[in-house]
Amino acid sequence: MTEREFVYVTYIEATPERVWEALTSGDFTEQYWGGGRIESDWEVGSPVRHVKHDRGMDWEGEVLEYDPPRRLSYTMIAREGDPPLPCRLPARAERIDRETHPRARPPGREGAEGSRLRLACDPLEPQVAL
Amino acid sequence: MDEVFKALADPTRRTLLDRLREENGQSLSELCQRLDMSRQGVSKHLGVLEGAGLVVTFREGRTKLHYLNPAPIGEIYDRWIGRFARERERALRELKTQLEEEADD
Repeated sequence: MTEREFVYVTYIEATPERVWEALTSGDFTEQYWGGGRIESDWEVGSPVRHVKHDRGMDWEGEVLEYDPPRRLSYTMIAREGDPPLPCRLPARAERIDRETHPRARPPGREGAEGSRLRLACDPLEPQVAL
Repeated sequence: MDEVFKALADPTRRTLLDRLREENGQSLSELCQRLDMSRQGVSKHLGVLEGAGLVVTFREGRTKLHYLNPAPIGEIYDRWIGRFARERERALRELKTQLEEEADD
């Protein structure tokens, strides 16, 4: 059984393609990951790094799954500070369809184009990470 | 915390907090403008917000100015968002804001 340390589900007024870009583009990640950017070539098995503005790195991991624009998964292993545990971060972006998810949108925004982003952090056993 | 939730459960009181977020430090008269409500009604709502600690007042000369106090909402946040989740939560909220602001441009 997977024990999830952190789960986050949100509705975003943007297409899954744009949500995907926000998750994977270095330039875009710089806009919201305070103090750094996420860098990877996003091939399965490639490294993923969180590079800070001073060029230091506080975590790195490996791409486990890359299926644009829907499923992304990579590991995060701390080099300093946060995250507290080695973890696996799976993310899914799916188009919210007006017919199938009539209540997924905030009131008053029913007509807008949107996606649901689901993201989690699952702790990895330290021995597995090393 | 009950008082905070009770205070936030009313749409007029949430609107008052929105007004203070737009412009902090307003008098009762300023807050009454644009609100379709009697001065007495607004005053009563402000009293509830003040009782819950969501609004604090300071006197400036003969005018009482109302300020938004972020402390009670911060305490709610702290109660349910763990220390390690905060950075991620903040980043993901910012991701949403960035994408949606882009759409509005």
